[in-house]
Amino acid sequence: MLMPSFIRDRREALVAEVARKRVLVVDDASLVRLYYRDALERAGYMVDEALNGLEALEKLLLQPADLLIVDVNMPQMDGFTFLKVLRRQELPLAGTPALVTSTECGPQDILAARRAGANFYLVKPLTQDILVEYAALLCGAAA
Amino acid sequence: MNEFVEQFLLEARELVEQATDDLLALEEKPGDSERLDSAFRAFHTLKGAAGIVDFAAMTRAMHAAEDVLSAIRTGANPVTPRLIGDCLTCLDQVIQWLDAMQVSGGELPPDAEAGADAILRRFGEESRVGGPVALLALPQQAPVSWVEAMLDGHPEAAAEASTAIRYSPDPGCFFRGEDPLGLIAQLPGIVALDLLPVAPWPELDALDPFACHLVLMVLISGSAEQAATLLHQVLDQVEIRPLRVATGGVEGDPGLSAAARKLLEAQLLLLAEDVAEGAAGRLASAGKVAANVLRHGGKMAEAERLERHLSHSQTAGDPRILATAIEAALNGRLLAGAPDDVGPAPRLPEETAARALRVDVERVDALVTLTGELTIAKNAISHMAGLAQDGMDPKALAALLKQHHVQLDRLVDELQQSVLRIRVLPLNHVFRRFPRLVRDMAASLGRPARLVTEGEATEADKAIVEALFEPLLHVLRNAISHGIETASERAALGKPPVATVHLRATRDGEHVIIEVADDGRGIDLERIREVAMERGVAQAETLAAMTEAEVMDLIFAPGFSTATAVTGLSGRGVGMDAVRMAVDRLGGRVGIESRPGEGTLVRFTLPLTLMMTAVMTVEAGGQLFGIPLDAVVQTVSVPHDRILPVGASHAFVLRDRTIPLLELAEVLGQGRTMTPAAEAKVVVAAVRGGLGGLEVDRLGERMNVMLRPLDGLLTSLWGVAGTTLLGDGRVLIVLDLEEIFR
Amino acid sequence: MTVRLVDGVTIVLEGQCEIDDADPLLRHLLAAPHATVDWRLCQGAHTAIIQILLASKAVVHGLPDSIFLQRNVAPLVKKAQD
Repeated sequence: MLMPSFIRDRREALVAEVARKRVLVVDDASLVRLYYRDALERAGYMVDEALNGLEALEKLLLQPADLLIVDVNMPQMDGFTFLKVLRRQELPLAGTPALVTSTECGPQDILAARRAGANFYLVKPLTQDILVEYAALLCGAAA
Repeated sequence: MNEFVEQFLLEARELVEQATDDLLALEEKPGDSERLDSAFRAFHTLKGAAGIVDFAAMTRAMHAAEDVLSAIRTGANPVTPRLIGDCLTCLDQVIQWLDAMQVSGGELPPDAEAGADAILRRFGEESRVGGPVALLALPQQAPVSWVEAMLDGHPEAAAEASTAIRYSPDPGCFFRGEDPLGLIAQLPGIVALDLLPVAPWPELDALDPFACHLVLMVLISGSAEQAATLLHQVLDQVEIRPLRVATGGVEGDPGLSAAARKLLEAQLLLLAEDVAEGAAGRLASAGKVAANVLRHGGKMAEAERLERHLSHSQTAGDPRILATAIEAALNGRLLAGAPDDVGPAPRLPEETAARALRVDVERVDALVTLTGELTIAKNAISHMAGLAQDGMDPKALAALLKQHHVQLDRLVDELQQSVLRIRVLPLNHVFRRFPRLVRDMAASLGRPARLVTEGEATEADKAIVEALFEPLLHVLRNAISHGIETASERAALGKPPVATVHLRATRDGEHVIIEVADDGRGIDLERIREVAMERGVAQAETLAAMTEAEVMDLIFAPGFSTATAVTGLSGRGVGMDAVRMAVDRLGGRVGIESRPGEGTLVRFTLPLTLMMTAVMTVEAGGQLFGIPLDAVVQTVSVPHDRILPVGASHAFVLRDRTIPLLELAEVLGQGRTMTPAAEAKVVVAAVRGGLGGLEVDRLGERMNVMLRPLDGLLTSLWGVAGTTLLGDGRVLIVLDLEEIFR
Repeated sequence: MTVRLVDGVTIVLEGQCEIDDADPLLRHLLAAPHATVDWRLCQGAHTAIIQILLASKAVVHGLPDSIFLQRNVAPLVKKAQD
């Protein structure tokens, strides 16, 4: 009944669990969070959510993330302010990769995101496939 | 992907499903004009949808199908199985196109014209030359080797060339009147041509002058669209690649995907931003992203190199050091002759997963309402904090808090329910794929059968619905290939010649029941006993002691598989054990009933949702584990002197029943860490139809958790049902008692 | 007749050479392996014809009477002789 490899397996499993990339989705729209979470979890990520920049900062101070997916228009603290504040923090927190997803698609929006410290910008709506593709690249997940 | 294309992909799939249903119904009842109209409408809407996204090839194909159906409507054509088959094939082609578009992010499939031509031929129409030719939006792909070879061989032409074409005529093309070179000669702006033999030239006397042995490669200054228009009759033999004119040909590292390049370029732009505030954070994040992109592409050494540049950049306070390194990576200069990867493998569309979640507005509204209520509840807490600060009587405060807790508890509960309902899908999502499959299976096995589905509207968790396809397909395959008699056998038995397979779903409290019932020959228990012995699944004496139901259940035993004839349809001898495993993984059960001569029924009992599981936490060997609460009968303290050795294991007596006892820490290989207390804490659980005791160091609390089924690496983990994340970030391993007591 | 063997050592391609000319051309080349192909009057050639010229590494004389053949095909046929 007892598999001798159980201990090793379980340790590996725990290591795998730890090795799973953590993504923090910062968006006030619950459907967007759900949509992203669904895609990312199916792709093997651990997903955490925050409804605005303030909440995201609080969560990040407690637990670092491998990737932030950030909306722009949010109550309390919008995405750009959040990114500006984030990039001013101590390292390594300040260097957390950040992907901005927004329904705005003008060049000035993309520029503003970059000024705020975003590493990349994707225009909503985006498919789950695209989201997962970019998340994998941004996190350095194995292909 | 643009919104229209996205919507197109979503809607087209639904329309294909609708049309498939209608066609199958029509085949059964050729006179059903409602179904005919519905099928016609589906094709018509598909045609319109294709037009919106400029998908000319699909428009053509749908138009042809529409014509055929229209001829049936006017009575000019009868409904024949062949015609229905052609229409279904046409829908298959559409699904392939949709899949390709899904993968490519909405690009029209480059070989669509050829597919459309094939469909027109099928419908007995010649390709309408001069009709609309698809404007081929060819993907901007990383250069492929033949393009590079072509450009290398013609450096003088590279600057002018904007499209590369490789034309591999099939050897018999001359007999169809095709003249590949003649076609090529008409291309606009030829800047280079290569004619290569597909194989080294044979001796001249062995050369077949009527077979084409050439591959034609051309660089033209004209566009890919022009090329595609001209070559539309032979598009299935042609590859067309638009070249990046701006960069004057091929440049950069071909090992990087388009997305990877875009990300690296974005980091360069980020580094160029001249804002003092947050510069260190931007630099660090850009370096991390660039390294991650390389790592994702399997370029581990390059990623490490880049990280070293990042730290140089950080110490020097100069982002340009990192920028230079990223540029080098973009141009492939960091490769330094290292043998390299081929980039990420092409992604295939997921077979069963729904691409998007469509949610009822009503359900979203319910969530919005709940959010409002939760906000009020949240505000009440700050109000209570104020009361506490003002020195409110602790007892009164506690009462208030308790009352508030009840309210929050209700809201959270409702929220969970609402979220679950969002994740719910009707079983139709998976059921509707089967009538077509059953039709094909029955036809290829020569066992006429029809599928009757019931209860498609029954809902279950999305994850469950999506995971059901394979196990159900397997059971259906078994029913048709093993369960059903041939038409002549059936006639001899006085049964209707066409067998009926029922696929039905019903909701039973917190469970969803799915049954596959056939009216075939039933299962021969004697045969199961024989096979079980033959394959070493069970010994003769064990078999003798088994009830009929237990013998029947052996079908699900690993290694039993009765797939005697390994046909293309019954898979590669995958047995019903795989079905049981799949259903187990969903937290369900599978059982079988059969009556000789009357048929067989396979029943899946599945949970409504995968999400919430009530568990009880226990501690063993210094670690916390979860035990599914539905298995726990009670917890007892057993004095150690009441634990009896039974062989190599232990047991104890509880209300006159002897219950086997396992020590959890030992079972899990943790060893003892606690000094034995006078009494053992035992969780009594119902497993495998009996009771079992599990000795633990400490009993914890009960909680509802979102149980994450094991995936990836963890699937093979013994004794574990799933994991969940605790509030403090620890992983709680939830045990699979069935397996532990096996 | 657009393919002719003249004086035993020269094969002449004339006008539009079609698929039907492939077999005669091949037979001429087999019969006279060292023949020269004179295609100065050739205005067009089916893939099958060019394929034989490439496979046989035949020596061609002059340039054909077609821009496409001159610019794009003749260099390949000449190269095949090397």
